[in-house]
Amino acid sequence: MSDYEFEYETEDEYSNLESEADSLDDLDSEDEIGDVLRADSVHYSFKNKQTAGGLCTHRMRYKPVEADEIEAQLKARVANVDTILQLGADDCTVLLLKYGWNDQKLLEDYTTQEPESLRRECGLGPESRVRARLVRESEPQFLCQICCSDGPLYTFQLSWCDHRYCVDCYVRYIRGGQSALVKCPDTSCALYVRPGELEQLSTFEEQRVRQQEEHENQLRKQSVSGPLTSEEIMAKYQKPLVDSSDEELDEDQESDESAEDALFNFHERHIKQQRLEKQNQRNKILLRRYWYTVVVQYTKKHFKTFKNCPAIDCECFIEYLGFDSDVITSVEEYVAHKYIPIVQCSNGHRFCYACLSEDHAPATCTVVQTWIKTCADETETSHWITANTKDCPKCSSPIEKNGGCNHMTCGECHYQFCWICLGDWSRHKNNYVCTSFNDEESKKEREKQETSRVSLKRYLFYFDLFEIHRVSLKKDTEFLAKLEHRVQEIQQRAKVSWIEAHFYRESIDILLRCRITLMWSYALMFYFKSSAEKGFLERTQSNLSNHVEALSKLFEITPTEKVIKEKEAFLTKSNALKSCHEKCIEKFMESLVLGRISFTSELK
Amino acid sequence: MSLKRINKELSDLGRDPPSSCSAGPVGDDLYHWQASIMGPPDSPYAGGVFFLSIHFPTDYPFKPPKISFQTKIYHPNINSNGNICLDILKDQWSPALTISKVLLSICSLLTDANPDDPLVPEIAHIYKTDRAKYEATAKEWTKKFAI
Repeated sequence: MSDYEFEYETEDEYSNLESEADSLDDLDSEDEIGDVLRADSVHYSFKNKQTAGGLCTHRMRYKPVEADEIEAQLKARVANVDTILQLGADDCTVLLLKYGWNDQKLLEDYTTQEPESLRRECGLGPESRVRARLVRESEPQFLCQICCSDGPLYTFQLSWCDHRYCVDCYVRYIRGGQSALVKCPDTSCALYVRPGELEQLSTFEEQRVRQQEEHENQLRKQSVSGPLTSEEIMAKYQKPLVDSSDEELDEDQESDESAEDALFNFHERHIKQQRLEKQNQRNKILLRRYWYTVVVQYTKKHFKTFKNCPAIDCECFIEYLGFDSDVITSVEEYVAHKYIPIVQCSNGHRFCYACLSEDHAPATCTVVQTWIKTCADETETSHWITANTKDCPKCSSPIEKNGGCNHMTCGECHYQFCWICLGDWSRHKNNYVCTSFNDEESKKEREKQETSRVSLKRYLFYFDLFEIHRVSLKKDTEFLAKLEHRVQEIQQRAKVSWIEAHFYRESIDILLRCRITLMWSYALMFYFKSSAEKGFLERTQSNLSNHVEALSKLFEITPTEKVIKEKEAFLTKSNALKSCHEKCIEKFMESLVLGRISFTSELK
Repeated sequence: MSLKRINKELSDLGRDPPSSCSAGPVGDDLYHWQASIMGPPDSPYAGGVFFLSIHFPTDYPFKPPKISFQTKIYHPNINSNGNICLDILKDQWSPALTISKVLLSICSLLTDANPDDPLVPEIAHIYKTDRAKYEATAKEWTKKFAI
């Protein structure tokens, strides 16, 4: 609960949002208030069994947040505690980290226990003050106990202990730590490194790295401007002659492109660059890395409210803000009602908040898990089984005939039967030529066998459909990787602005999303019992599939001029697909949530 | 860097050897050492000499050395492969620790086992329920393998 209290205290907007959202509930507004988003961008509204009539929407509210924002929140919390304890931000940070951000428990303990012993237990020195000049040059006879290099060296130590080590070792030691709380390397010393102390080390390190870079740059410049040796001169003049003119052209193009880049695709490039820079800085600057570790630890501890985006190298978080509903109060309940909390992080990755796998609407988390398991277990094996085996008519264990006569004896139950007609062997009277194909009983056996394999065939049918879209999705994603170049080309040839060439990118985005939806809808269908509702959903599904194919066909057009000419077609088709997709998801969710569809026994 | 540190530790060990332990490189490879520990007198391992192998990782001392018993020993925190369950060899490692300190810690582990965090649960169970039996077996193993 302390989370919530804190959120309301520090960020008033949340409580406002809450009330705003409440008043908007009945209206089923699609507005996104501020940067609070709703899971499932398609907002479906319908009667719910549990609310006595009346339209009601159940949507999860969330907010994509970045590490910096959480860091600011945590720092605000530190400041909050500091106004009460008056110990300074450094000590308060360590105390809060030690108390797992449970500020109430900390305040309680601090007032009831003896501060001295509490400080000692939490790895704090006798005073809150951070001493100046913790990084200094050592006397010549100094020996670093870690690397055994001798002085004079730049050394670092904490404010309240005498354990000095050289800066290099200290930095490496801190970088090697997994947790934000790092102790003094000396094992008999219980002091923790505080942010204020780390700052001194971090600043020193940063300066040194910068100096080194400058030094290297200077060296490079010197070597460039230095007199050329005769070989270098030769190389310089020979190069254009030896290399084909193509390469030169390429180079020209590249430089052209990079100039173009500045204007073009500006937005995406900008975001990507910013992200990389942030990551770089974080790794380079100790203090930034420290706070990032603090944030990661905090979000891991509060995993119900925060989820780290599961995409590779994505450092965005999703903050859970509750529900637009008076029926559903937790994610577990939401999922139990067969809703799917799909969220989107600041970098545009879509994933399920409940199971942390990629966007899998309209399949529910249970379906996804069961499906993946089934695929892993069955696909390969089942193909082989259908092709090569028959089931024992009595105990149904699959049997492979690896030679010999048609008189089969099941290894499991020792039942004797005929491989050809699957009838009881006793009726064959040891005749090795099967003549009883029309025998009533053996006919029954064969029928039974048929039905037992129907389920497998059914699975394979849906699996193939799923697989087709999975493969297309992979291809389309590869295509997307090359897209930037393609959009550039379109933009250059048509001499239009980036925003006008953006239709291409948007079209592929919607195509990808629909492929994901289709893919999972097939997996979902496998678990549906056949009914009128299923037929209805199948029609919706094939409608979406048609739209996907229509748009997908447009991407086969490769000549740039033609693509530009077809812009209208792209726009209409992708818009049609978009609305079709929304409707499709809506219909699936309706059937699922309202329980209009029943599941087969395969879904455990 | 790690070589400098390992050399320093080696010379320190030569100058001021810890009681009841010794350690040094096996051959020319400074990253591979062998150590020996005398069974502490107030333990069932008294009288035995236990050999250990030490492998230094290349990023030593920022990563802990890999130490294992080569002599068979009956102990709740040491398994049949000679692996030792000791916090300072894992997450509690600090670059300020040295081989001599680690060996002394292992000595004290022999005197006071830690049955609440066992590597061999069966031995830990006997240690807790039937101390006399544990001591008898440990003595027997020491006699058999370490003398």
